[in-house]
Amino acid sequence: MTELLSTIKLSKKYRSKFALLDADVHIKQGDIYGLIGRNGAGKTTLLKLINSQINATSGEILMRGQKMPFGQPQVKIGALVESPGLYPDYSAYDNLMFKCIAIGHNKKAYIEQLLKLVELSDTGKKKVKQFSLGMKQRLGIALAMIDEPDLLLLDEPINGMDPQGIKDIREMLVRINRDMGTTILISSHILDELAKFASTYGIIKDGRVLLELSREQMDKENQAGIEIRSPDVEKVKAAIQTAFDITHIQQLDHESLLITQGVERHEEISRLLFDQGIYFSQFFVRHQSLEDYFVGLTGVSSK
Amino acid sequence: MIRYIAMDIRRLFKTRSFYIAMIIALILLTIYASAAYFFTGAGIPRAAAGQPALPITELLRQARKFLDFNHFASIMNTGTSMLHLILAAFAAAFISKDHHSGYLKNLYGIRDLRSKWLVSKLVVMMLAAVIFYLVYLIGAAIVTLLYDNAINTNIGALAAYYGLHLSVDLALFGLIILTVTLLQTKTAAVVVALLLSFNLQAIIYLLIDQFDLLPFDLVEYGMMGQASRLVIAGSGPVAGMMARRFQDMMASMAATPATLLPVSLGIALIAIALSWLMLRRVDYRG
Repeated sequence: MTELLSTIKLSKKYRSKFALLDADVHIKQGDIYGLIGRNGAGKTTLLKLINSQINATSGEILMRGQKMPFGQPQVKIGALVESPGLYPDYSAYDNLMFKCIAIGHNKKAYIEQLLKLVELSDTGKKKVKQFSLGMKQRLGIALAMIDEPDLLLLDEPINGMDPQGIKDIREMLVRINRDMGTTILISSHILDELAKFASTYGIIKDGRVLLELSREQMDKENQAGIEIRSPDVEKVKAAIQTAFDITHIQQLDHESLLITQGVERHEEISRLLFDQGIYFSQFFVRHQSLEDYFVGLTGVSSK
Repeated sequence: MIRYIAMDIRRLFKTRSFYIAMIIALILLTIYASAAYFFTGAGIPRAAAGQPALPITELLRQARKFLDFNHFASIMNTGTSMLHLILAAFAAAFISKDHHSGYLKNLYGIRDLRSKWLVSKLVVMMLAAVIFYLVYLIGAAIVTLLYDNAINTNIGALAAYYGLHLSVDLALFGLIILTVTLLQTKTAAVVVALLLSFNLQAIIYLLIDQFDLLPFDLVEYGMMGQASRLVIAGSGPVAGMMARRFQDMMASMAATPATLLPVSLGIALIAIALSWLMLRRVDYRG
């Protein structure tokens, strides 16, 4: 996949403190890029910089490999940064219409299609100030979706929403990404939710991007151990130690083992036990949650 | 650019406070016209005491003739700058709404948004001012007809008068845009708009003049002070008298409103240029 957006040593300083420092991110076309970090880590600052809301102190933003001058994005960007920016005294239709006019997409059918996409078709002339938080968030996403952006920036879009609302938004984003090919950069500190649909992760702490990795890499890294249940744990242990030179084997109880070394070789290990005729009743790879992984990496909880 | 302006025009016509601003101006005109009608009626019999040559009703009719179209067309900006005040308050709320509501965040993906925002706000606010004055003038015409007076005015003089007032509005809008650019709050914009259109800066100018630092009296060149002394050319004695009375109140100034156009355009130019520069430097804080 080609790179849609990248940043090179992007920094933003507020007074004497860097909110973002030398951030390098690489977002591929078609990615759902989950930006992970606790509050104040610099996620929103990064999104604001990409959305030209604020000036960078130093560094560059590249779009399709071209340097982006401030306020001159070369790709179409839709954004929902922090709370949705809505005119409270107008209807959902009017809020969409204003941006559609500015973009040149002012067609009734198009606006109605957007309202349908975010399930707000039935709001009629109801003013936005009477909307629930979830409705406002969905309208914010619809505003960001106008003109089918190449890149959708979403900053904590599920904050404060109920479980059904979170599920609705997640499904909608997956649909947008799959059906329209929109690249999504989404930040959240609700990591288990991000883990359900992000294809790439960027981990940010104290203004620094610590790590970027794909979902596959994350899954691989997150393999915490192989748990094997067998009536003959000593035999299992000896076979694995002999064949693979694995020493990190922990006996959980009289019938269970946990192997925390060479987890990626789980297929070979299961074949070995099978070939040697060693009976086991359970064999599975334990995964850490994204939350556990984040804590392990940064030493802090995301919340 | 055209699309962005079209968006703001659509929003202007969908903004209830725009219509409220016009209604307030018309209500103030109605109140003034009613008060003037009855005030004239109360004053004339006393003035006519001992001069029974003309019947009282005829005296009243003649006195009310002085309250002509030019008088009503200019009265709300003579002395008090009431129309500027209403327009500036509306403009402050309208212009700051993009920042205040956060809607602007949705638009940063548009190339050159900042320039478009600036130009669009100026164009749309000037359009709003023209519509506002036209509606007010229609009101003034109706009041004149209700006074049983003919609408006699020099269109050229009227256009010149309102052209000057529009130049003042341009300066006010420029200053409001600058305030919104720098402070990004509705409250600050409204406060600045009210202070400017109330002509409170005249007090500061008077203070500066006390130190004789300048070869001229700054207060004489104050934009709102000059605007409040404007008279439509060929106006009847009442409008002229009111303007002169206000001039007397302002310490018998020697300067005439002749310098108003360069002063207002100068302020507008500086405010717009500063806004344009600052828009690129000031981060959006919403």
